[in-house]
Amino acid sequence: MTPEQARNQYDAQGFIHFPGALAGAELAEIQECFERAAKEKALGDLLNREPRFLSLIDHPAWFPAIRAVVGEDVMLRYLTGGIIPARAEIGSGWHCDLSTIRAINLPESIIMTKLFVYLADVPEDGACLAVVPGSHRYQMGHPLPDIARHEDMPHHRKLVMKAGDAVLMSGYTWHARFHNRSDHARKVLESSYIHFWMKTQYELNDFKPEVQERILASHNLRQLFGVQEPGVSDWERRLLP
Amino acid sequence: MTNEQQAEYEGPGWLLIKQCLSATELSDLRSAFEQAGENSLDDLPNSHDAFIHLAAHPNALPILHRIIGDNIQLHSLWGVRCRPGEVGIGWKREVAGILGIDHPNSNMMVQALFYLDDVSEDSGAVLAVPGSQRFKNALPIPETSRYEDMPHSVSIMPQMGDALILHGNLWQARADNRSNRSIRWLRYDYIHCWMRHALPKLSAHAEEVASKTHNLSQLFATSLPHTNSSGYWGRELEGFPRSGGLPARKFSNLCVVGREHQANSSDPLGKS
Repeated sequence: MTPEQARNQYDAQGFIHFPGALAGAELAEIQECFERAAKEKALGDLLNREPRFLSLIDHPAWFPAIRAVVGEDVMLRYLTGGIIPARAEIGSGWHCDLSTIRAINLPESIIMTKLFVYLADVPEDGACLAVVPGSHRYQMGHPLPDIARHEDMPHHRKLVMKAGDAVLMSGYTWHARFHNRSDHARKVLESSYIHFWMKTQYELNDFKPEVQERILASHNLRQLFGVQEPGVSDWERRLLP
Repeated sequence: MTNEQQAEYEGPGWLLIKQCLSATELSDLRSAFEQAGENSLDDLPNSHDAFIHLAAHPNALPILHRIIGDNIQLHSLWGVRCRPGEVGIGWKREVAGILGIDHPNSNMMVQALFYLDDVSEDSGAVLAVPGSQRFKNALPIPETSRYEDMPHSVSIMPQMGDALILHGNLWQARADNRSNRSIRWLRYDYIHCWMRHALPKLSAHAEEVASKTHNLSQLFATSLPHTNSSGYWGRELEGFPRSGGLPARKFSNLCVVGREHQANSSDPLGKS
């Protein structure tokens, strides 16, 4: 999929599925890092505990699409890991992440987009991410239907995933995480991409020296991690080709 | 914000608040401006408390809050002294560099200019194209030999004590100052709480003043560390009716539905 095709799909559906974005030895290595971080209860601090995750921020499997969607001023807001245990009735309910945004015409704007990278299979009865395709174009204030169960949402699409798959989703798309009624834990990396003119969750000093060094060595990583450049306005920051 | 003020702002793209500042406030701000000196006009919050309090002025903030919405925050503030003979500033849209936004149908940023001197047509008046805040992002601004030659542009001439509210996407320029007078004003740019600000680093004293009230701390972003994600998207001023910002839109009554074991909720706390 070219970046242009990705952008077209995103514009039309509000999400993009990347089957097999990670595979083979790379997937195995990331899974191993994830398990180690989980064991140390460090899924919220992945980049310090396992600097290997730094390579995922601008990974060629999905970053060209993110760049085409968000724009040349793209920045990371956070990267975190999450596990939903097997047989856990802790689905999130249908919602839109940007429902508290004010004074912005969201159907025609791209404020935030989320990337989910799956490190374990999510079967049909698992804690699937589900979306309403095209809902990112709904007029603001379009009412959420007063439904009781996830399955009752009209026109929804449940995303059954294989380990290594990734999904990019507009922050304005209606979505839910279903209850996990399977015997499989859901293991996912979640990151949020925004614009440089927005607040990031990170400051450079949050990272240990070796991570800082890698970030500072690259123009694009400096931008992705929100490091300001002297003499360049936050509103004019752009990636290098 | 009255209906008339809203119509004025949303039509041409600006709103003039006549006599926003009282005579005493005007006098105090003029003194504070001179005390700050030429080298501190971009560091006003650290030079006098009056510049911090002005951010929440009761004649301006309710209007700015109505335009931006509950999550309003300051982007920047500074003072300007436009001297006799000073060349103006060419035509621009302030938010042109902000990518990803449908600016003609949004309010990303709004400027509030508090005037400390009278402005006349030949003394650095603001030039604006009425209704241009609705022009599409891609529409190029035409080249003109003189700022005043922009088709359909008009001069805006506030008087001392007035506040001029400008839509961030408005086509605007500033005329040359061909008079023999200096004109002073204070510029406050307001944005959303989830956007980065460009305020100077506050001194301990300024930080204390800006943290004294909930509303000032929200405007100066002094209360939430960057790592706190709970207040990232939505904050709320105290003492104001809820504002969804302009243009006025409806919002869904329900924010989270379908959880089966929990009642549907108007509280937007869902997680993916």
